[in-house]
Amino acid sequence: MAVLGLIAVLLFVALASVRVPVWIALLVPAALYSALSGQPLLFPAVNMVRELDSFTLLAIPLFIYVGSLMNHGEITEKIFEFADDVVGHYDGGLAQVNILTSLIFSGISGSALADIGGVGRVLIDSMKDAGYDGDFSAAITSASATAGPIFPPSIPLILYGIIAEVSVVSLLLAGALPALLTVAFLMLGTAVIAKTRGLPSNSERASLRKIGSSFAKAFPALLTPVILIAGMLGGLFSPTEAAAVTVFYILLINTVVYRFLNLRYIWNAATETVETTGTIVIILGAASVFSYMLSVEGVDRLFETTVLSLSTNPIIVLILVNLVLLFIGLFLDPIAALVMMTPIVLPTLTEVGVDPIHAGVIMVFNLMLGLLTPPLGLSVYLSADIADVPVWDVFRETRDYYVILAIALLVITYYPPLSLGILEYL
Amino acid sequence: MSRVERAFDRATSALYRGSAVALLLILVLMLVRVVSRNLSLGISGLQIVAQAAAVWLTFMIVGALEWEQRHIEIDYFTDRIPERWQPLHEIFVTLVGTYAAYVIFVGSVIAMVTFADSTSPAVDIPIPVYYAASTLGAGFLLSIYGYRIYTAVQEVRR
Repeated sequence: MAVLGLIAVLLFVALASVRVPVWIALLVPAALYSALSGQPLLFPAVNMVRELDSFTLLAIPLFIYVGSLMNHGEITEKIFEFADDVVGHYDGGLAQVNILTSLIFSGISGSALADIGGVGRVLIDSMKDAGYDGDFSAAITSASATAGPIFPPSIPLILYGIIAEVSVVSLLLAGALPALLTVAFLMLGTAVIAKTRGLPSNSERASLRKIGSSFAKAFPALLTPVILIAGMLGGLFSPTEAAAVTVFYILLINTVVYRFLNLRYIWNAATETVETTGTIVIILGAASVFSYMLSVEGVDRLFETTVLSLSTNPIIVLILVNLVLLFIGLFLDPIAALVMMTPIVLPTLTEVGVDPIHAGVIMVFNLMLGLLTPPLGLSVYLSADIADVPVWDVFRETRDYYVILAIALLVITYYPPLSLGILEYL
Repeated sequence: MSRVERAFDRATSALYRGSAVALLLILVLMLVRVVSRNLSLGISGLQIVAQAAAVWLTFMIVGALEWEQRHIEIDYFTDRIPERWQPLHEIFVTLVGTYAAYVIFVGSVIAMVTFADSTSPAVDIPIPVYYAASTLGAGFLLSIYGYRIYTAVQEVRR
């Protein structure tokens, strides 16, 4: 029964490997399957349009817009200055600043690639100016952007919520502590790397007055995630509306506080946003047709039977699922992988008692690691491009951070209260 | 740059502008929705219109992104293809893309006819409006691929 489904998966991998755009590589096997199984010709188009006609999905372009507005404005610099004052004096100063800035930035934009494309540019330039190697600057920028997509707001977690039909607000909250833990791991790892390599740091600790001053300047931006989470918890707005409110808030503080607002700024950010949105959302539409085919073909049941025949112990099942996802993440964009794999993997995880919210945090974090690994490794490609260094040198530099992030993944996987504990207090 | 390429460039920037307008429309509709609900103004259907705008945004930009070759693709393996095989590889990728565009285009046209009398809930947007977006997007894709096949064949002939 699942043979056709498996052939379709192989065809997808083959097409994607020969540089067919990922969304087309997903759509073509599904369309061929649809034709061979005698479904109406309109099926793929109808399936795609229905997937895209979704309320929660509206959050994606809006959060991407937030990232673009921040990149075009001065908020990025304020956040950077604040992070520099707080952690710049530690070993590997600017690398630590990089990690903290990424967390704050993605706490507003919800996207790893927006983080690298925006604040990453500022960070890499500053690090290179301060004498850091371009490869290391690009590697830490890629690694630090990985924690962002599980810190609220998170575009991948919102998507997971739609697919798995679980509370998006709970998911967003569940990602907060794991993201903070990951940041702590990255900062500790960086301190060790800095000691062994003798990386520079700020010569002196910033005075309290200076920290207070940079905090005051960054405060309106730092308030964004707080407003967002409080608004959602208080029932004032849904995650999608929260995205729109965040855009409005960013425009407001750019006008009132930073005195930086003009129509060209709004328009340029909108043009940039539709480009990024298009590349992500069309993959989502195609992946929905593909995953429907996999589900009709019973690939989810095949996966469940295979995994559970090996073990029904949740610890072993989680290891197996994590390994499968890490493998998929090598070849697939995280968004496409999430759409494709959630319907396949989630039933197996829930069968052995894993909470769907916890499963979402694990899956998103796991698939984000694919942004750091060849051959796809989009984060590394982007940051290598910004740093103007060979991409393979950056992949090599990223290895240490990959290990650190893999340890974080293990902790997130095997200590559910880290994700779910916060939900008990609500 | 040929006249055809200039025409594609113009169409691409028009589609970018159209998508950006759709994005700003979504933003405004969502903000009005928040205000309307919290002040109990009772404006309904904003979400439906915003969703339709998102469908248009996506399909308007999809062809523009293809023309500028900005879709996500894995070029790790193809960078290793010998140069003399590159034109054939390009033709293959274009043909695969053409099939995908054809499937969406034909499916959308059939859907427009099939659902000609249906409308969305609350605000009665005719369902063909949604499929007009995918028809437009896939139609633009087909014209891009058609042009690429034509130029690739010319290249191989030379």
